[in-house]
Amino acid sequence: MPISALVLTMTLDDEQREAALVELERNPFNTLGNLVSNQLPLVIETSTVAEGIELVRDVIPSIPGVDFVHVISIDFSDMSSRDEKLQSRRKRISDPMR
Amino acid sequence: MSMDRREFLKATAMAAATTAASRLAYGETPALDPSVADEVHSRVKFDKAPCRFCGTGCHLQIGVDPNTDKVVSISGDQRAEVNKGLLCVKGYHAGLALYGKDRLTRPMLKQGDKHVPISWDKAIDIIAKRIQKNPAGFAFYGSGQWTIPEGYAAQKFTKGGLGNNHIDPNARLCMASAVTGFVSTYGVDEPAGTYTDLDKCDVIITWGNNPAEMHPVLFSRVIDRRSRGEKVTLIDMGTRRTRTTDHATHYLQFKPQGDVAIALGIAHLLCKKNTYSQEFVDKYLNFRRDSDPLENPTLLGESMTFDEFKRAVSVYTPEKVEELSGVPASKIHLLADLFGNPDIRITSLWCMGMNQHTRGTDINRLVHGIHLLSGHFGRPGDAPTSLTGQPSACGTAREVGTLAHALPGGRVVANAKHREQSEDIWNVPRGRINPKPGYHTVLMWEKFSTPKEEGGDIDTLWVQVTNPGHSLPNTEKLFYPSRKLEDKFLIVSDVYPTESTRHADLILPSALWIEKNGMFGNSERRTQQWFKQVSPPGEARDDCWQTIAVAHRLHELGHEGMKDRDGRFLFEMKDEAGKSVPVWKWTNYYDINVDRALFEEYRKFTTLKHKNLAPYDVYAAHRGLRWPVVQEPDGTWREVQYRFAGFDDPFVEKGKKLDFYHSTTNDGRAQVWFAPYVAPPEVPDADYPFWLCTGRVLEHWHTGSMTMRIPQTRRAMPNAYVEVHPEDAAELNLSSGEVVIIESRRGSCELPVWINGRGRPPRGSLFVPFFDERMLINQVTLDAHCPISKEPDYKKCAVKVRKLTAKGATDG
Repeated sequence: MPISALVLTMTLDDEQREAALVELERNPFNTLGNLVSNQLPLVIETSTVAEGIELVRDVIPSIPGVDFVHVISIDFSDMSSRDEKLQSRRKRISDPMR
Repeated sequence: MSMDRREFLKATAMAAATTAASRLAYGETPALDPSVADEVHSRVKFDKAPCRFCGTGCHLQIGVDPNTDKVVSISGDQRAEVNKGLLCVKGYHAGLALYGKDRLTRPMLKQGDKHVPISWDKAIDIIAKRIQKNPAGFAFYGSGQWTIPEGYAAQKFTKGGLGNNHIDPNARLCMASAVTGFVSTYGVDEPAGTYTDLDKCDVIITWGNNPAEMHPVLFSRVIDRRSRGEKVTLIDMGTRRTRTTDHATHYLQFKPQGDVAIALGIAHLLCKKNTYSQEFVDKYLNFRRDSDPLENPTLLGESMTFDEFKRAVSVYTPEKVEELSGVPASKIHLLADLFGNPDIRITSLWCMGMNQHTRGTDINRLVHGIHLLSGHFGRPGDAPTSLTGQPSACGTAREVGTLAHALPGGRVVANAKHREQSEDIWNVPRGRINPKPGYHTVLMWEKFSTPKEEGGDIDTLWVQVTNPGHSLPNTEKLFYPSRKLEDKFLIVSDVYPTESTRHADLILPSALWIEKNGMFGNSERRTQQWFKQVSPPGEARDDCWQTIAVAHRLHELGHEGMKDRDGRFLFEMKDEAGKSVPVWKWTNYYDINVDRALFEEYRKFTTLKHKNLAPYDVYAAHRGLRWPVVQEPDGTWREVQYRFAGFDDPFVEKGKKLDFYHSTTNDGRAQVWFAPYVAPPEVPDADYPFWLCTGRVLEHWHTGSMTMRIPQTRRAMPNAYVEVHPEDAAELNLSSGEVVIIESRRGSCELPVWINGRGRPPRGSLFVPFFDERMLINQVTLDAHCPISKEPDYKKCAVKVRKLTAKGATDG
């Protein structure tokens, strides 16, 4: 988990768009839908939250040919059992130095 | 059809993405595969609700598992015009905001250094007895997160019950300058246009605004138009580069406060080049100024002629504006030439950059003024549009009027007729409403933090749906001192522990978002409704119930203000059979729909200033409607997209192209204001050499009390930071991740450095987001505020940076 639904706005440049689609298909986390004009439905399924964030925030937007990433939905029905532990929310940033 | 759980989740995700892709590509919503739809609805119950976070007003489809009574899925609502099925990172994780492990679930009273659980009955009793003892010393502090009925109940309780006007929302800290800008220009608050302008304009100008991060769903409209091959010129004006800048055609970086000079420079060139709209000047505009803009500025000012206006702005030549703002003269010509071109459509967007400003009213008026002067107003795509940061800053704070001077429906306490109208609707005795405005936010907290013998006449302060211990400016002056004064009693209703609850005398656990019924009003005048979908945890209860319960306890104690003219309880409510329902008892609160009852009463106010709202049940059937909402001859309800424009607004006099029917000069004309450039109240010097600007980030909402409980958003942005220019960092020998102390004349804050981060401040300038409760930057900020709107300036003050080297020691 989580499973996220995205729509990628793809470039109008045919060659660059095709290259981007190939690269997206290569990623095992991704399931590509059918291109609607230049809008690509995409479902990503990752094993950790961190992987999902990295994909949506960094990896996918940096692919040449992907103009914009819209996040449509996220399912977190069993996320609590899979989520990694977080550090204390109240810990002051400089405390370790004191 | 049968599929395993993961297949099912992936199929529903793909169906949602395909539908959204179709909407984005063609503006059409295809039918969902019926087999998938059946599967979805057999497992999860879906219902609509507007997002809990910003003022955009996206609609969500929330999936609740009936077996666990928990939210298990969030999707963008495909039928919602605002977001067309899209959401931002905060929106699609909004459901998780309900499930932080440290939700407040019991009332807690401070005893010594600890908070100990007490019963609701005792908590209500403590509040009522404190108010009964000194009603005039009570103040209510809320926010633009109050739902419309919650804010209305708080308003009626305070002004109609206690006869006390000390009620103000945190919206005072975010959009009060927009209100005074609208009111002094058009005679009535809130934007004339709507988000549709973003789909129709040729040019978008962001005035100190970063919609790519703060209103990302709205900003995606621009990206999508460009991806379809449409030309949209984006001009980003700001004091630091942001993600919006990355998409801009032109970036104009101005010195803090330089926006005022830029607007004056545009006005000057429109006059000098004769590219203003003669039609607007002749038919639709008057000109105004303050006789004493520094010492005694006002909402009404005094009239001036167009020739006097021209002379006043003539000082602001492009070269002079370059000197004041740092923006090259050629760029001032660029802006003026765009406004001078009647063949294009221009939309201006702004939010906190223009509002949190010691000349906030002035800059708001000036931006309206250049749109009006140039005729870029009243056509689709031509609009000066302010955005809001909270989900109901417009619907509750501005329309219900939970401000110290206001009454619902655009009424004000200082006006005798307005008081009488309100007293009639509330059915309270004549003279119940106090004619003297109450304390605005900064003054309210100053009075609460001042000893009684020194004039601090507020002794009991109840906070709902906000976190002032974190968000007030200069908290060392406005928040903490009261905590050392024995006779000051702070009550905080909230959903999670915060800096405010930590210092509260009494904590009340509140229901959150879809744990209760609610209504919001977004930035484009859209009123939205939702029903309760899951139960609140433990003993958490609706804020509105809390207000009504205290009102009833006061009624039991004999407080005359809690009775109406007929001796009945101020919040008496009846069921369909006409039988009184004791809604002040929690067990009976949901016997009727209290929201509907309060809203239908509130609705009577809304026709008084042409902000007409439809009946409650109409909103239940829609994804919001933009007011004024008027009933058509066939019985249907029609919303209005373009106020004051004859082709759409039913209140415009027949045959007129434009009609400013709430004109402050009673002649159907809007006011174009002149205001001089005034330097900021604090500027960097030898001791404090850096500018500090504060703001928000994409992943977190305001003080982070909800989004820091969502693992995904917290992981994506785990802590606050200070953005530093690489050359400043090199000079101070700083690297990313190192901790520094940011210090002003008021306080200090420790933060890790981020160089070449998401935002890029210029040399001599720092930026700090305020969401992180471990790094309270408002111990540093300035409480200087706009003299008219009373909104503080969080965007500019002088600070120094010191490197933290070891165990509290510093150098630099």
